[in-house]
Amino acid sequence: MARGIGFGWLIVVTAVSGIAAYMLIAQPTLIRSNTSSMLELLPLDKLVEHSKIIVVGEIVEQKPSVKDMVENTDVQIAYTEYILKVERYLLNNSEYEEGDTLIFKNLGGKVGIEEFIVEDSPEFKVGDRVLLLLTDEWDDFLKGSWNVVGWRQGAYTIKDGIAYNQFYKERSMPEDELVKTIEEIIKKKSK
Amino acid sequence: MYSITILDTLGIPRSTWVSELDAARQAWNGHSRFTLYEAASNPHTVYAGIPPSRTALAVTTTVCLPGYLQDADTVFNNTVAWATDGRTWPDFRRVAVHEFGHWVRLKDTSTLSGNNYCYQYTVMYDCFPVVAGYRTLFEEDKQWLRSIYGR
Repeated sequence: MARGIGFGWLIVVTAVSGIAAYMLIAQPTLIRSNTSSMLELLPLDKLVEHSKIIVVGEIVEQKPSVKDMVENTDVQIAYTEYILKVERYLLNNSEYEEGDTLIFKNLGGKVGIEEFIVEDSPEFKVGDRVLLLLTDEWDDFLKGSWNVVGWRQGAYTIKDGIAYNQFYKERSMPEDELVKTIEEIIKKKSK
Repeated sequence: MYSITILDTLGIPRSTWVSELDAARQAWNGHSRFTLYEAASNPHTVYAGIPPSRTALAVTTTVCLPGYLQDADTVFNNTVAWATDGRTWPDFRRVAVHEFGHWVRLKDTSTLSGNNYCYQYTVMYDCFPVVAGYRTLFEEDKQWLRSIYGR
């Protein structure tokens, strides 16, 4: 009888130690939510037409991501807020008061163990120098906040004088040339 | 496996969207060890509604845990004038084939490194307007599928 109780205790102690060790060692499982869609391909002049603000600057801060449900769907999505230190406004066709910094939102982000990847959303990291075509209307989910026009199409990452389009490498060009092209489009539209 | 909730608000006759979706599903079968079935009731759904961005024709969301797909849902934009004749854009079946590609874990071509124009002849090319009529898998799509599921 005593031998039976002893064996029982051994099983309990082993099981409890095992669970404790697992909880200490095991990493939380990452849940990855991937959102993909088909994009309407827009030429640069159309992207400019849809923009309210076009700006060059540096990403100086990334805020913690926030998740929310998309209205009338089963889709849960996250967004991330970025702070851009503005070097230059190429366009401000809104009531927005130009400042040294500008806050914009971008779809996607990581919240706890959940990672929300939005395939067509541009990618940013602190320290990136960027040229962004922004509006507060493009994305229903982000309506009312500044967000990138045409998702990845409206975001350029600038490195060594070249502005790389996040969607089409073929649209990449020297920064000066891109700025000049955009300014010409703006000029034409305002006539 | 997927189940259809209701696509009547897409403006396509019920019998048409049922058969078009079925054809889109079949496009992915027979090329690898993977088979996509339709089932009367399961958590993976295809439905009509307004996606997160109005400019998107359809949006697929997949939820993955390490090693397996936990959930997959596709919402077709019901503010779009869908076509089903195979010649007019947006072609419902063409978009459905693309969206089911995400169910089998393929990515949009724009997220792949390299020249996006190179991938124009794949169903995972993610820009529109595209030429309607490309409703079946291209060799590159099949290769991507086989790289995940084997032949």
